[in-house]
Amino acid sequence: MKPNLSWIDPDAFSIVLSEVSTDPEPSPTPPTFSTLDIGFWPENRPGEAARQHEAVPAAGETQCRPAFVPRKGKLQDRFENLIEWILLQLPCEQVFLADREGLILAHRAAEPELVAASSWFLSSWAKVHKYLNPEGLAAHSMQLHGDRLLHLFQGAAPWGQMSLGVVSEKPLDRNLTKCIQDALQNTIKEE
Amino acid sequence: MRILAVASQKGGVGKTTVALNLACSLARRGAETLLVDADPQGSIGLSLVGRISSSRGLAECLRGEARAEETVLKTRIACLKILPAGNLSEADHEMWASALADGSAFGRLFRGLLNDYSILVVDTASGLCASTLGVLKNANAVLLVVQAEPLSTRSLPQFLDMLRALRRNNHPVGLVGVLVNMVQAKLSDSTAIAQEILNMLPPQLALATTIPRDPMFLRASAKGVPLGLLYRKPHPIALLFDQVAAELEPRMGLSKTEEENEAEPLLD
Repeated sequence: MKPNLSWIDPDAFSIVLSEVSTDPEPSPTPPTFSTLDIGFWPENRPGEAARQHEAVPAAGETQCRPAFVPRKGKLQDRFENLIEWILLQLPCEQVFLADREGLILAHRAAEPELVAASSWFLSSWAKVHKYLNPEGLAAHSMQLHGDRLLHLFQGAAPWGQMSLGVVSEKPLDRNLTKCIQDALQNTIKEE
Repeated sequence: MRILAVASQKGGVGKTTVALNLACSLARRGAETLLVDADPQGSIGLSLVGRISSSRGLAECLRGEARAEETVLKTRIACLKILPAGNLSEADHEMWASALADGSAFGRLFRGLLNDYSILVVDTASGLCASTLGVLKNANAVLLVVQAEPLSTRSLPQFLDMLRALRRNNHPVGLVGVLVNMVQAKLSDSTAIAQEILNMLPPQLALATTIPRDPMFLRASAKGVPLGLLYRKPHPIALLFDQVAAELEPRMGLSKTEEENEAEPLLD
């Protein structure tokens, strides 16, 4: 446990919080307290993704159809729009969007333990990533039990880091990875 | 209807004051609000002058001696009504606890009020006592009140563990916010612990408004009135509860639709 006045372990605390909060309606206004800026993957800061050209798949790569159309308005609607679009791209067992604390913001059949573990993984991986490959994609895939794969994406929203997790048996090729990453960034960018 | 339980693990953190003043603010902002005193000590009744302390209320309703609508008190705020704790003798406390723990008695009572109110604000007893559990089993939402001092915050995880256990047992209650109360701006330990708690909370659960420790609370308590009614022109501290209400409304599904909430021109 970190030495602090409340004697609360922030990591354990965030896991419990993710399990006890009501269906979240994230505020589009950044909170008044400071947020942690992990500061990696500079090319995907809010607004950058919109300026990127549409990905052109190489031969044999997956076409993203339909193309992602970001929805305007409330964050929760935008999150749902992204999840619905992902479900059209590949067969998914779970899809979730979470904030940097691992709090689920929108999901389909997400296991809270997996979301919490993803949050830990991404926060640790950010440091490794910054050192090894600061220009590369902030997406990772890992094998779970059996043939299930967990695909993780990280995005920078105005209110902090966000993660998108997709559990599927289908591996992602370069183009689909790029499409999903762009869709995430377009969803969470400032309007 | 939404049922908001105002709760805390530790006593003396200002839970009743928050429940009372928040209910006033929600009502002033247009929500049909019923403030329910579910603390066996009748803390709401002890906070207010008038006929409330001797009135029939929750205890009589739960004993089947009265119906809720017969015991609800009207207030000077049009949209606010109060269901007092009622009369509970020392001998009744054990009965009260055992009757309320499974939540079914509260469930029946709350269902009977479904059509009359937009929101029930329920002041609970401190800690994990039976009546609080009974309320939480029927609430949609919990506002957790934390005093800005270390001892109060150290019990926070225990309360959340209990909430998690309820949710795992299919009770839909969820945390909608953590309100940091009694912040003492001139004490670095008090401001530090407030900041520490806020930093640990995700935006969905943090409230940007914190409540200071202020002599006005003592004055309102001495007069037996909510802060908003202490003076004809409300003291600035009272307006903080309007801010808390405004922060909680969208989380509670109480926000007006965009059409209802449209801007009004200043001039014709």
